[in-house]
Amino acid sequence: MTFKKIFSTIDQYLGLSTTDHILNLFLKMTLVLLLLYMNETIYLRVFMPVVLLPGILFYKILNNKYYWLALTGIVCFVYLILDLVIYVPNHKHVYAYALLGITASFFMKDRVGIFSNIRHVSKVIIGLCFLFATAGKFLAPEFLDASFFKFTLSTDARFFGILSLIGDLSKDQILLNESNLKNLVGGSMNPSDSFAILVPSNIMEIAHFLTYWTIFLEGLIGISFLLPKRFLLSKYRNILLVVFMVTTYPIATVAGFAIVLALLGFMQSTEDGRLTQFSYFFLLVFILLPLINTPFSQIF
Amino acid sequence: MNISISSKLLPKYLVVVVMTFFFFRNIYLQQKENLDSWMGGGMRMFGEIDKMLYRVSGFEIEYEDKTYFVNLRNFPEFEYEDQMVRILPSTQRMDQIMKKIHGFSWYYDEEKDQIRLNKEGIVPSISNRNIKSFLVYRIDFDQTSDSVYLTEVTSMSINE
Repeated sequence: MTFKKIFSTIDQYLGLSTTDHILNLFLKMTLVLLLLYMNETIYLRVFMPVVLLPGILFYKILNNKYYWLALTGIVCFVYLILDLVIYVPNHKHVYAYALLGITASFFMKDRVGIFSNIRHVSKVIIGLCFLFATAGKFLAPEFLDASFFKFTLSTDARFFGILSLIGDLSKDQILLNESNLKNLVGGSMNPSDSFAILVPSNIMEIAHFLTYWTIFLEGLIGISFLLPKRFLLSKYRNILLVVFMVTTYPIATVAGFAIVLALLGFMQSTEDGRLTQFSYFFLLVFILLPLINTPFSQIF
Repeated sequence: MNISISSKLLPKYLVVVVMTFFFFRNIYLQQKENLDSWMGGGMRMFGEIDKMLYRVSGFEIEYEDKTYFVNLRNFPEFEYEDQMVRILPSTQRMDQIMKKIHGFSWYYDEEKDQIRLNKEGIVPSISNRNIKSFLVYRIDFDQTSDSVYLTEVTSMSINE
């Protein structure tokens, strides 16, 4: 049995054999994402489920363009208008961009037009995110000379696991860096104080590798997602995004960003209105992502 | 004719225009108003060491010929304002936070050699005239010596 037949069987079993089914699934996934992650304030925690659940439960509401217009208004107000007034990380902007793309598509004439436009917009959003991220790195001299990774690897707790594997620092030495930094910004030290971070002997090799790898991969993803289909690199975009997700998110656990990449990755990876093996990968990431909140340290 | 063109172009390019606007706004505000480059939808995270989580905001106050720095991170009463001014330390935001700081009374804690909020009003307060300036610092890292220290991003004198 070939892969094509296996996926065709799965498509039929899950009821995802037409563009209409895939579009409905994507729209529901978008609402689920907002239900899970648009909950920063008490107002949003109370109000958003009331707005989102009707769309998840009722087909007619899910496909009503005015429902999406209203939802986009709310999301854009919170994440684009108030973005410097409350704490809004970059991935929340991406939620608003996705909603803008969906709503704008809904004002097209037919279902096929809506599907293909949302697919196009999903691809463009991912492409621009990575292109801007790469451009931003060229605007930061401290990133290009590898001092960003030297500092981050030695002070950010998310990288301590990987640092203790490949470097020669003890766990206590790494934790001392973190606590010194906390004391400096947390008020136990004076602003005129300073401290020296402890770094492994091979830190510059690791920092340089990560610097070049990040620029290379993010830049390549940005270009491959923005290039038209006729370019060869465009055909490899899904592989590049999978490599990014697999190599980044187990370490830098930004679930809110990973899930929106999985959502948009799912939609843009469809070919001729059908799911591909990449669509299933992104769908699986979307479903399994809450597992990263497992308290592993308490279990093991 | 115009309607049909916009109905085709709008869905395709609306997001591109909005995303590009936020990218350039991020660069502009970072240059002009010291915006944290990780914020504001510029997609420039994991590029610079300086970010609001590592910024420090607070005020300098004089007490018995000595100047003390009061880090607002230590006061839940200022949690929202502290966060806002660390994201975007504009003059307007610093002005607002200074007004709030003046609305509270402060005292010298001899045991800890620190200035603290005089919530109970038991201890004699330091005069608000002793508050000299409001400052925002960022983390800096010297790659050659591996030292980490704070550098002033912006400040506002009380007389301004």
